[in-house]
Amino acid sequence: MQPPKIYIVDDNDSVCYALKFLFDSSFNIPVEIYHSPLQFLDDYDAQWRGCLIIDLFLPFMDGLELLDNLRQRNNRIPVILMTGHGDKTMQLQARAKGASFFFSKPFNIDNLLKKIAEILTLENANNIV
Amino acid sequence: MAKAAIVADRDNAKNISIAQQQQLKKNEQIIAGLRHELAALKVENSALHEQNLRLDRLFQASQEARAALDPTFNFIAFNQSFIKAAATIFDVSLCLGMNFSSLLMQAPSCKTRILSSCYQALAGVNSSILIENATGAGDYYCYELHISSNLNPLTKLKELHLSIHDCSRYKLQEFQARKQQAEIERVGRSNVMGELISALAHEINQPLTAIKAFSRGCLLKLKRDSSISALAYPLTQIAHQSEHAGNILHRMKNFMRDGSMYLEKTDINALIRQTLSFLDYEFSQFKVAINLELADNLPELSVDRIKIMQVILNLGRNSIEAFQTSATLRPTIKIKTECLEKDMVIHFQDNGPGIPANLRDKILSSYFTTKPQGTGLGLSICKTLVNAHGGSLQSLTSLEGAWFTVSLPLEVN
Repeated sequence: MQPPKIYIVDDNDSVCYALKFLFDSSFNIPVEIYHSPLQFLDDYDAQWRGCLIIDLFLPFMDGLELLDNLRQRNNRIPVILMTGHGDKTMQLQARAKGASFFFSKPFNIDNLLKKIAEILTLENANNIV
Repeated sequence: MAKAAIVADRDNAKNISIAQQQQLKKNEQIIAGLRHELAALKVENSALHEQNLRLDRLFQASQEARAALDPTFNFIAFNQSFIKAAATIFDVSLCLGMNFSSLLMQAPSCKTRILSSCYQALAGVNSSILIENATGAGDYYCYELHISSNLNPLTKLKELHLSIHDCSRYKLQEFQARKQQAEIERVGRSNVMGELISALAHEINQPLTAIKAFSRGCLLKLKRDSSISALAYPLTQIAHQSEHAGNILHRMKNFMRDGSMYLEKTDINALIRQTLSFLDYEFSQFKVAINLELADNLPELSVDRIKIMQVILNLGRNSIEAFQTSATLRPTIKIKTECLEKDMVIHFQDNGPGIPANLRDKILSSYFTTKPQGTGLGLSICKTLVNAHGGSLQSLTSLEGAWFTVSLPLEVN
């Protein structure tokens, strides 16, 4: 069983490092950053645990495609999808494809942190059991 | 001898009757001739009459409204089209003999113009008058009234010829075409701008997210370690920046939608100083010196602050980039404000590489950029923002560096 980590997949540098800084300050678990979904899929292992944060608009493939891919690989990590272009249809599609949660940028930081805390606690609980 | 007398008498009588007969014959010939002429005249008259009727029918059926007035402005002829036009314009049923100037009492707005044109025509100068109903009361119409004069060869009197041309449909079409043109331009503009705003929104969301996450992270760190209270200042700046970014987006969207401007009475010098503080980090990073020559006692100007700030920020960033590409020694930006008779002018000068004369006009138009990564929209957007205030953004000749002026009118329209 892998130790839990927060994985961020977003091609925007600033957003990635800002989120990493935020999570480092709020949680005690490692944060891994990926700018390319291809690189992420290369490294991905179904044994990974923790929380996955993906941006909808990525180079080479969009977030929804990535979700499909992960589903095929029997992904068990909860996925949070974020985007600068949020709309209802997008949201429903994301949920349908297996995203646990959906946030529109610029999102409410408190809500994001709360959600991640929930996910990590649940994961922990599951792992203990 | 009586017989001779009788014969002589008889001869005389014969002679008389021969003369009479000859005369009679002559008379008959004349009469026949006259009859002939009369018949021919009757035929001619009939033909003329027919032609007259034909011409009258043609005249009456003509789409062009025409009428004739005698020198005292009484109607001596008019056709159906003229009757209709007169009914519309002057609200009157025409009949021959009516006086035109008394009819004009019904239309006081054009009475003077028309009467003076009539007198001019009598003096030999023809003219046209436009009569338009653009008030919205009743249907729109637009007529062109031509007034000319003509000498009647028989009466030797000058007659006035009026003709009315209905250009309502043409004018309406022209109006529609102009409206369509404006609409097409607006859609074209908004399509470009629409895409731009979408792209802009997406772009701005990214730094806003980063800003928020960084600042919250800082605050959390502060909670654990009060020794780094120095973070309070950068955090405040971050908060202001994200606020500013959000406002830009909001205001741009509104401006795009309906050209709305949020005008506030502003101290321009203070606005300039505030905007420059946003560029503090970049100025210090590239060691840019700022030289301010802000005039004292400037009147407050009614401006949309965010828009003017955008312009100054854009000019500032352009200068910084120019300094970078040409590695200017001792880069300096000079900003001067002055109040002229009708405008306030902000002068923005730098000692960078400047703008080549042949590019000076182009650089303010859409899509033109000399920057490798540039989208070329910065200066043209600035131009739009300044124009929206009734002002102008210009690029001037300068011995050294770039020189832009932002003129803003003192009086708001």
